Amino acid sequence: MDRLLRRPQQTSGAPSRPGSSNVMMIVIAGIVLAIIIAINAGYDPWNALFINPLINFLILFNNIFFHNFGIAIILFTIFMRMVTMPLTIRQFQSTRALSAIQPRMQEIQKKYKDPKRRQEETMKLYQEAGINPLGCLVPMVIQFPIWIALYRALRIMVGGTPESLVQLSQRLYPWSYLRGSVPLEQHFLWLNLGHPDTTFVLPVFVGVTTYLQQKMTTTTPTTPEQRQQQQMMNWMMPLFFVWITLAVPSGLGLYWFVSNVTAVMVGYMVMGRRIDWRQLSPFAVPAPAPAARAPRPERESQPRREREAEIVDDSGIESEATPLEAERKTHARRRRGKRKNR
Amino acid sequence: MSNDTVFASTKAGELTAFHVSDPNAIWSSVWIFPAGNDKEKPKAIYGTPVVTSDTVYFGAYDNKVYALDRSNGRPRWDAPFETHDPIIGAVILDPASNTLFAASEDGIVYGLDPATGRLKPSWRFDTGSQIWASPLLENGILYVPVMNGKLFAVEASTAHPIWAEPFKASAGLISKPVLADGKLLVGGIDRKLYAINSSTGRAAWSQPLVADNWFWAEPLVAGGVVYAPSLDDRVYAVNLSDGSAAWPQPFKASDPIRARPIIAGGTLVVVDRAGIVFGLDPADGTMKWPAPANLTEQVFADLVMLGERILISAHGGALFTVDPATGAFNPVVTR
Repeated sequence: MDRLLRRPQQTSGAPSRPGSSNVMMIVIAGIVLAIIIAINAGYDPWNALFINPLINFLILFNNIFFHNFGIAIILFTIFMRMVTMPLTIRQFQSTRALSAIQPRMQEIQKKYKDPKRRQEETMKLYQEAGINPLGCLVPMVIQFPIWIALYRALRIMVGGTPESLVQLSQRLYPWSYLRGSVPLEQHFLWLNLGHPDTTFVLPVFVGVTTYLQQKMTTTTPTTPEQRQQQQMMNWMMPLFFVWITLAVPSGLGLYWFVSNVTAVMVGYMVMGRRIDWRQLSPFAVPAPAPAARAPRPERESQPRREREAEIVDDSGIESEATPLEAERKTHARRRRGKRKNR
Repeated sequence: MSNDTVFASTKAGELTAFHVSDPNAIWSSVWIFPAGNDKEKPKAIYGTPVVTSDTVYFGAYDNKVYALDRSNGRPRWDAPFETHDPIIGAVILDPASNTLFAASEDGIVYGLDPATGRLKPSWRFDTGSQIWASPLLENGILYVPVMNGKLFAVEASTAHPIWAEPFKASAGLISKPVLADGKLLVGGIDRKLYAINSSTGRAAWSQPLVADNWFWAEPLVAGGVVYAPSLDDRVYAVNLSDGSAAWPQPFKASDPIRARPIIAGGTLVVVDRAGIVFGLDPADGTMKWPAPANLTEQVFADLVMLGERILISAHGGALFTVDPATGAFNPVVTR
């Protein structure tokens, strides 16, 4: 874990190294092979390889942890987050790396009006900084099937209706330790895990944590249009999740809440002191554009890692120095420059 | 089904009364509960309603017990009786003690006054676990299977347990029990069908019947044979006396079976979840019809007789009648 966190930034979001490419290829080939075997054996691969194992694993958790399905969902979500931790860390690192080059991105946007040239320069910048622009997306895309499988598994498990119980009976492995524990105890704290939480408490928790997580994984917009779009998304997604949580069994809401909290904690571990918690507030005044505070010519002579460390963005990811300190440093440099000229 | 009126509940949470003079003609709905201007629906109605000369009683997935006027579908109580959790099984009316019993997923059996819907002062029996099955009322005794594997026998008039200890299975009991020849037959999610001595609460067979999946459907007993469908897609037939196999091998359907089978015109009719209806010879479990009937609708509800035809209520709310002699079926047209 520590080793992962200390990984040099250049590797984050960078194209995979040959070794990891091979591992990825082996994993993909293994999954494809398993899908082919499942289809040939007459199984639905999505159910046989993802959903059914997840259901049985969750019930195993339930049995191990006091036959309390709420605790089982929490621990299982944390477990899954741990398993996918390298991907999550890469996602945060990619976000950080993309944030770091935003000033130069802005310059390119301003400098080159021709879209083709602008794209070429942008790609060159990515290459120079060792960043894969899809670095933020790939981990999310990989985690997405896991989330969908979990969502479907939980829906079946906490559905609480005879239809869902018949479905569940078809998915349990023939092990009396598992079969004997259904239907699962659905009461947890104030929640009935099989029914939506009409108290609005859990939906609000889910909305707030979705907002926080989203703010931590967004990069600085380079244009006002992007900023507007991002602000809209920052509000729309949490509200969407609040609405969804009001409609689905609260077991799923619990999963989303714990998953978001875990992601925020991972983000804190990766970003550490770079998180400006005030900037995560929806009422925070966006930090000024980094390029406006850090004149390019002076920075050109600095090593890239140093330059990146000074950057502040409005996604809440901050440089080692606070915005105020950065301003002071800039002023001090200007004053020194003036004295030299005299 | 009562006289010429069929009461059909659908998952959408509606109960409809149909006037049926001829099962093959168009069925006209007399009333629908809740009425069109009522916004609150009872979510879903899984248990078979109890119908008297003037009232229709049922429990619903919205935790409530309803009493409707049979003639117009209007509520008869000031307010429905509310439990803490959904009611999945059927309610039971005991004319002898004038009590309406409702078993809720909150683990409590409530004894209500059928006239007012209020809880009778001394009638509240806490089983300590979820109740999914419909209880059985026979000879003034209420048999209640619960999800911690226990089966309780309770006096209907007083709510006092009859047996010294409740029967205990290794996992939840989920099927409605059947009483035949002093034996209670009840299925569980431990894949076993138990025969229990109704007077002592002890096992009546040396070994329970074991399947590959749960016994959820209510078993059918006829001619000394127990027909027990399972969620492992099979129908088992065993002798009531000792649980020994009555067929050379169980009948294999195409999907799990949740609906109670029925014997009509000498044919054992079974429907699986996929809506495939089979007509079997009750003597050996072989197919009697040239081919099964495919309703192409999911079926969970028990089969009932409607005159000489079998009425099947599909999960989506569609109704079908099936000829038990040939397997020919007709979708019911309603208006």
